[in-house]
Amino acid sequence: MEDLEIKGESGVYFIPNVKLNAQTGICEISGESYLEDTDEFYSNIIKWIEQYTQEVRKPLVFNFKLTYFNTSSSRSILDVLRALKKYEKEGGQVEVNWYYPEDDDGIAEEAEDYMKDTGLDIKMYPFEPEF
Amino acid sequence: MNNDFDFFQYYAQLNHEQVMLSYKGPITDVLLAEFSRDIRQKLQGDQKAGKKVFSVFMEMATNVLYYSKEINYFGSRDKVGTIVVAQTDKEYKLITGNMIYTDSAAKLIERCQIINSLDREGLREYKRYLRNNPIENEESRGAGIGLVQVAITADNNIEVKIKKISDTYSFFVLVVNIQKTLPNNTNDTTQNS
Repeated sequence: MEDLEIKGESGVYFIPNVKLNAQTGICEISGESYLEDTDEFYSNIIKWIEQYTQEVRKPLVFNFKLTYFNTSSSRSILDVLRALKKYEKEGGQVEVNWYYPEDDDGIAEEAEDYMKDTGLDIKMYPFEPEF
Repeated sequence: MNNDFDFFQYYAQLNHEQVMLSYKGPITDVLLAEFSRDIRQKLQGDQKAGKKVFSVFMEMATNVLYYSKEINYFGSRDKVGTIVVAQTDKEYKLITGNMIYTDSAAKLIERCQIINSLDREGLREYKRYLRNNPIENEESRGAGIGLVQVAITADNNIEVKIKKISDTYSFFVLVVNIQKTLPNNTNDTTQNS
């Protein structure tokens, strides 16, 4: 199975960095998320997770390190987390780490809300974003 | 939410406040990206409130971009709207104005009243409810979760004003204020020992 890598960029839209590693199971979504077609962007990530859970079936570590995302992205991130929860329910080992900018209560609260919505145990860590 | 609201008078009054960005015209994604960079740059001195202003600006501006019913028929049929970011001593003020269908007015006012009746925890619950429940129709999408998110991020009530233009169209104004970060914990590093 192949890795999924998307290089983030900030142009007319803000594309987050995506690094999903099929060998190590360590995945990261970082940067800023405001996209032209949010559903399409995140559905590729969800498809990758589904393929991994069918073909690889090893532990998955998902690190979120976002400094900004719009409400449309927040809906899609919930779908990503639901896919991870599904894997966990099927017996997969899943670890979700949520890194939030230390001065951003809103992004920290998002993780709490995602935990309520998905039942996932999301570990939260503050970090100092680079500008 | 009265019907006599005069947006243009309101707009003229803004001269008294320090306007950081003021635009009336066709809105495109390219333009929005330019504005967002401009706002970020201007708010570098107030990182914490600046992030909130940026985030609220993005939600409000994309709402205009997606849902304005006024269209400029010159060129690529862009949506038309007004976006203003101003500041007073204590707060940043974000204002958007755009045409909506008169039919949507009642629902928007109702959503706004619900939002303003809720505290932060209530707003988070409401947002989760909207996020978990499928969208009934495209039209209400922006009026739902986006407005709730704006109130959460701004940590403030939102102000909605609607002026009926005709049976079909009404002018919708959204005003959101964000407190500036008070420089209370900043140490004076230039002080000599």
